[in-house]
Amino acid sequence: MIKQMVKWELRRLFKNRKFKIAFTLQLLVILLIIPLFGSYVKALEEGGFFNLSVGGKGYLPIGISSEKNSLTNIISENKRFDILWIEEKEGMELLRNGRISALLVIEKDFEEKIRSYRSSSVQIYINTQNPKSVSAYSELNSILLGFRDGAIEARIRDLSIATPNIELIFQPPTTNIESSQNQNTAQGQGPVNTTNIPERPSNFQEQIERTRASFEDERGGYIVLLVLLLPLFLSGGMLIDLLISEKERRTGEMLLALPIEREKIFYSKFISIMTIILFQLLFWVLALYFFGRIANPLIILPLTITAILLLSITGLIGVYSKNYKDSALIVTVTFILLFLLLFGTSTLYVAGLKEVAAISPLSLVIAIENGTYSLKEAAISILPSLSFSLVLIYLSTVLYRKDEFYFGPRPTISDLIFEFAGKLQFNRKIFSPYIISLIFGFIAIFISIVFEIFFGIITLYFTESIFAILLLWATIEEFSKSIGVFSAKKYYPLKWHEGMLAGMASGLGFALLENIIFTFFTLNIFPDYAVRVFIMRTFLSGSIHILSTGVIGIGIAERKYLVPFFLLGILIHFVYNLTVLQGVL
Amino acid sequence: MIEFLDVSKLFGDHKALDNATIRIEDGTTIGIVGPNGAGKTTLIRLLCGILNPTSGKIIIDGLDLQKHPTEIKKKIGYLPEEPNLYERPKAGELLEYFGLLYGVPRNKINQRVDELLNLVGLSDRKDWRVSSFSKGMRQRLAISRALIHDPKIIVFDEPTMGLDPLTSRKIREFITTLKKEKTIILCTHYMYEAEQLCDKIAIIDKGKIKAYDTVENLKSSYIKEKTFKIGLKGIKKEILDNISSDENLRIEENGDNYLIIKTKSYENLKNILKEEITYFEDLTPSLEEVFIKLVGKKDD
Ligand SMILES: Nc1ncnc2c1ncn2[C@@H]1O[C@H](COP(=O)(O)OP(=O)(O)O)[C@@H](O)[C@H]1O
Ligand SMILES: [Mg+2]
Repeated sequence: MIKQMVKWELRRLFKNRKFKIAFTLQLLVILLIIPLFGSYVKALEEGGFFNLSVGGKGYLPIGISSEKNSLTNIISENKRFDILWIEEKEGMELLRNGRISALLVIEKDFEEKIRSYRSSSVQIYINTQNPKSVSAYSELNSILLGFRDGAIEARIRDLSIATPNIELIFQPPTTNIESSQNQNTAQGQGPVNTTNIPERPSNFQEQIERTRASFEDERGGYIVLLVLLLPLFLSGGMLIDLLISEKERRTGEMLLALPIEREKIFYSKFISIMTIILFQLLFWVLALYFFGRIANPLIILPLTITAILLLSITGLIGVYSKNYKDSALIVTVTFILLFLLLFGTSTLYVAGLKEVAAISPLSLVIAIENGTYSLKEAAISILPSLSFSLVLIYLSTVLYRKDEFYFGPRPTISDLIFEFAGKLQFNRKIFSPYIISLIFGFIAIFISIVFEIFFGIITLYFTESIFAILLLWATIEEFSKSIGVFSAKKYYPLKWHEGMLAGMASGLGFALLENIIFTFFTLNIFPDYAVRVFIMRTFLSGSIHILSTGVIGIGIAERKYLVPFFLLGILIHFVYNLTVLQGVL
Repeated sequence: MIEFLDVSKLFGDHKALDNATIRIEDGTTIGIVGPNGAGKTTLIRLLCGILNPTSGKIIIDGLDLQKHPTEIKKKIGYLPEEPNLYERPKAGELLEYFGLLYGVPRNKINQRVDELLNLVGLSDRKDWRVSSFSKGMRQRLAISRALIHDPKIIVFDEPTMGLDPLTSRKIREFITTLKKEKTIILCTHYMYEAEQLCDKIAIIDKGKIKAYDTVENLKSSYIKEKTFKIGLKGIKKEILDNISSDENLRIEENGDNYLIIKTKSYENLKNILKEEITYFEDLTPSLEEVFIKLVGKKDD
């Protein structure tokens, strides 16, 4: 049955003029982007965007005193350099005259030494009075660093030493780049230190090349995302279209009368669009791979996960919205937020905050592109999004089964929450309000996480204040925890002390689950401390969560004190957050 | 057999159907009549499993609709009140698609589509896009869509609304041909349509079922007397006296050569007037009168 519907929807979509136009447009945009993007990445590789200096091809004349070797090959690939092959003495003269902006002096048997993992040195001379010297220096320096890392990495791989330790790569004991500044000349020295390593056969050229490239490629990969996200976002809207057009044109009634479980109707629409997205992704990934714009077609996996995330969100919007007008606003806002979230996290990734950014599937795209992904990293970036998507898909089917979403009157979100709470009453026992609060406390942690990431990133963009974030998080958590108490209040006339108990139950539920999740992570990172952390957190943060929401519970039970007690609850939480921060610092 | 047991449906606080209980025997044609907003469509949507009842049970062929929706829905063909169809596909494609969704075997589907298009007089339009169809053609296509899986129960919600008289008549004739073997539920606010087509009629107002019976029973229980217009050769004093003396007969109007008389039975009248009658007309109010009596206002 689903197969029939999917086939039908696909045929409808492919025959639809609107779709054809959108697809063609997309094709044009992407075809346009590929060359633009190509030159962009080139420019990146040549440092055109991320260096403050302007200028193009051959803008930086430099001198090299050396034979050609693997290092000079890399340098000469950089089109911004205009290379003069000269003797050291002659070079110094030219540097002084300002004819060249830097002089590179490479040891005679550099290549051989490097290949046998011995130390070798390279010197950069610059003229501080020549403004171009500064950019030439920074350019050359970054190439040298890349080259050095590549050499080290190659060495490590060949010796089968486990993954390189970050500190080892960035601060090998003998490597320091000095620039002693004289009147006329300044010298930078970047010895590529590879002492005491026995000779081994190696694929070292390739290694060096990779590492050097990766420095720029993290930014390059970032652009690949832009290109590949385009079809995702465009198609995401199509799912909404499929869902809402049935409501607007009143054709859905025929579908609802079909001898099919309602959720299957939703699934078939979801699968139709997913098929289209997969088709497009496959097309673009293969095309970009073919043109050498992406290194690993495996990136289709995290992109598919991103697509599922996107569709689960647009699907829910489509089910919830009454009409196009209704959905347009929600979609616009969601897309902007989602875009910020996805890009925000991958920006964090590129910026080096890999641990935080890892939960975004797009970070995995970058990681795969750079060939630096691990299975654990893959799991961390796939599982949260995937489970979040599944929850949303499940929610959509629950809503889709309700006839109110086709015929109206549409329930509000709070109606739905209260309806859910009503199901948790267990025949109206005396403890029912606390059970409701406890269960909502469990759920509140997930609501909080989503909103904390969402708004946390936005807040980070605008202010860099950690206080703002702590306040934001305290507010979000207290709001999420209070939902349970509000729902309990809907069904039971809570007195102040009952409200407090309900609030405490919600706080307890929240703290319990939070601690389990937290401990799970600690267990991963510092297994030795996990138990201690768990106990400490259970008592400290647990009691704070219980206290703050208990206070808010009083406010919810006694409506006239709602605002002051709510604020008080948030304040308690915020102050606790601050104290913890102080403790950490 | 279709049973509604104390079925209510609320939209927010508004009770669109209020404790409806109704039994529909297999093979009968049932009319659901009532003014706009009475709850006819709501009742029908509940029957088709499109809406879920707020309370009460709907049992069809012994199965609870809430518990076995897909099994029951296979037996029902539904023509919605607003029979909106997809515009882009061709008529044949549309029927084929719904046929497959309703589980018509793939090898029989083409034959079934042709058969139905023939039946509703659209065989020459099989390869036309739905968007090119007129309103009447759409309605006929929608009817054939509702019948594609040869359902046992057919539900029509206002099948002739907004159509020209000729098309309306064709559709009514078509429904008559279906009557023989199907259970038909026909929702309409044209009283004569219900009277003409249905075995039993449910009158519904403000969500409540006010009456549910055969046309004759409804008329006889709500209209105590019949009204006849009798043409006579000449109105003689003797005849008038005879009529007045019979307490079962009452003269409503006394014309030059005719009388309008109210009576419980025509037999009495025939015995008194015998050969004098030149002309006879039954002016007994139609179902419409019953409806107005029950609902208290004339529907437009
Ligand atoms: N989805 C809905 N939301 C709110 N009110 C509705 C909805 N559907 C129907 N109603 C109301 O229920 C009543 C019955 O409607 P309906 O069954 O369509 O009447 P009918 O078909 O007899 O004209 C009307 O008052 C109508 O306004
Ligand atoms: Mg209606």
